[in-house]
Amino acid sequence: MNKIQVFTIAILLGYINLLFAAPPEWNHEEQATWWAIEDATKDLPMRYPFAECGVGQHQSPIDLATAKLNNTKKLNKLQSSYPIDTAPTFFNSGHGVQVNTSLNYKGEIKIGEESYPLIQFHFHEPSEHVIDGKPFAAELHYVHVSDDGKIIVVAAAIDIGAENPTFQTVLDNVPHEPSGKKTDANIAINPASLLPASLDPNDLDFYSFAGSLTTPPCSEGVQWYLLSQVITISATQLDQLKSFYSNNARSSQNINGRVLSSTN
Amino acid sequence: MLIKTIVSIALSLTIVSCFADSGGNDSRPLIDAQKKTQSSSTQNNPQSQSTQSSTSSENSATQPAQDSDTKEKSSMADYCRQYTC
Repeated sequence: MNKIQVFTIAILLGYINLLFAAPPEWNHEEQATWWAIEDATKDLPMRYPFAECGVGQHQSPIDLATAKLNNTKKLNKLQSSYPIDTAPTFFNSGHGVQVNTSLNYKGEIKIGEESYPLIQFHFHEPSEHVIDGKPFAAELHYVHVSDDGKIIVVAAAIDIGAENPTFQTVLDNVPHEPSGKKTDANIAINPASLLPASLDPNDLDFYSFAGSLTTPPCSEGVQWYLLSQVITISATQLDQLKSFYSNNARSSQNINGRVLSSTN
Repeated sequence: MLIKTIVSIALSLTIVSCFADSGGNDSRPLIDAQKKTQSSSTQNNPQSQSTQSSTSSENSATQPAQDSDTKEKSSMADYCRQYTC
């Protein structure tokens, strides 16, 4: 084989690689090997974009029973402000049921002097965080992103109990097809009303710990606030949630010496 | 003749490649102009620029990572609207 033939074959292989380039796909069934998923369009080390899922030391979720609780320092309670969003987007992310807040939405939580706008909230079934190996029926994640890109997730465990009308609005409007989105000017949503009416949004008890995104790329640097209060949905609503996605929860990750802080 | 053939194959593949590239961007709206200028590391690890160290997280449980870039604001929020986060 002469040099021209080798050159031609090299060009052809390069273009074939481009033609078939695609972002790596993942699913919860194969979570044990997320770290090994390859992006064929990248060279090392970016050939393994989800490597942090395997090598990270502060991964989420966790089993709260495996963590030590810092009893010496009590944290201030969370102050959340989740007003009604008049133009939310109901979104089937392909991995879960999600609601994106509108671009001009003013909902946020405050940690000290810093504000963290609410960007979206979504659900997992069963819960991702567990206690002594036991999951709750489901879990709600309020995802906040600060102006400089820091992520805070306020999580609430969901149990079976009273029906939640706001959750029903979510179930009734999220499209069933993956990547489907729906925005309707006549459908508003109040993220705070997912929480029990008895709960004061400006006085929330929680457990806090350092962690990561629970889905690829499992990026760390996420601060978690797991509410002490469990919220409820009905058994029928849980079945409806399962009709979208079931078992879309990551399993518990090694605590690696992390310590929980709390308001209690 | 052989050289002409090689050049014509290369040109036709270039055209096909251009179409393939634009199609890929349509399906990944996060890869906008701003992101293209960033490292591939940032694209695949949206929170990596704010990764906490073990020490800092244990010392201040209420404070998330500190070393983020302000210009990440829109891309990070966009990312979390497009993906589960």
